[in-house]
Amino acid sequence: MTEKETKQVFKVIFAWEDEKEEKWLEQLAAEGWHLQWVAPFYYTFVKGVPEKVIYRLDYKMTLDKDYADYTTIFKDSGWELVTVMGNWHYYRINPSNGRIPEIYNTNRAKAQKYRRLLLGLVPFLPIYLVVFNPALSLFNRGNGEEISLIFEIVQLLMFVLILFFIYAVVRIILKIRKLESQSKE
Amino acid sequence: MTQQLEFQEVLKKASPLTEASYYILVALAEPLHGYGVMQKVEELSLGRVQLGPGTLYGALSNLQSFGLIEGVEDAGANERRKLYRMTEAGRKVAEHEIERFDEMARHGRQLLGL
Repeated sequence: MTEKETKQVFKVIFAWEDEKEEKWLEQLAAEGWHLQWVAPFYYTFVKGVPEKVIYRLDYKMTLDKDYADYTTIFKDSGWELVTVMGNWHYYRINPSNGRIPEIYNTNRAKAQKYRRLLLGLVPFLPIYLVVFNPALSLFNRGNGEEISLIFEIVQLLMFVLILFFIYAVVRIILKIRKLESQSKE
Repeated sequence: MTQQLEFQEVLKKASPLTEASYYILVALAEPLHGYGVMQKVEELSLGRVQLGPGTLYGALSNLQSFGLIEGVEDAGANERRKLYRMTEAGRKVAEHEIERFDEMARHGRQLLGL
């Protein structure tokens, strides 16, 4: 059996840059590298025929009750689910008769995807509460001598993560507002 | 009387329907699964109204949460696709929207002298 040639790419793309990610995947497909699976910031491609392929990313919680209905609708309408990474669904389709297929036809519908993404971020809030818990807080060093260096480093990292989290939420909210303000209906 | 009030609440939330939601709702006058709705709407509008799966899924779950459509129980043992259909409230909302469109068109014609 001949193993198909694959390549791994490390690339930092954030949740609010999904359109940029789609374009990047389409460009690689045109060069014959087709997406196989995705880990955070880590993409595996398999070598094949260069093709015009449309990639679209959607956000949907895999634990939702109606998840099967959701995937069925995409499958029936011709979109192939390539891989799922942390609720992000990577779909692709071959465009037919020159038309570029879309999974969302209006900005308003598309905004719903980012609303789901915001909801998906809610479970990360407990981290926020831990960092700002007065008993553990970076800003409350009452018993300074007893706090180990490692603990401080971990807290600092958490703090940076929280700042990044807040930044991400703001970026996503701005995206929703932009889409909804451009909505015709 | 309370039913009347409830319906007013539903109407306030659901109307005006988006174009996609309106077409999906009226397509469900007979039970269909998701892809069936997509095909019917495209056929009916001669390809003008395209429903991507994301739009369709979102609109179906919105309409369902408003109680305008419902899943059909007992869709047959080997049918993995969920069937949807319009509810009583859904029909009333659709009729309300149709009257609204008629009125809008009438006013337009009147003012433009068509």
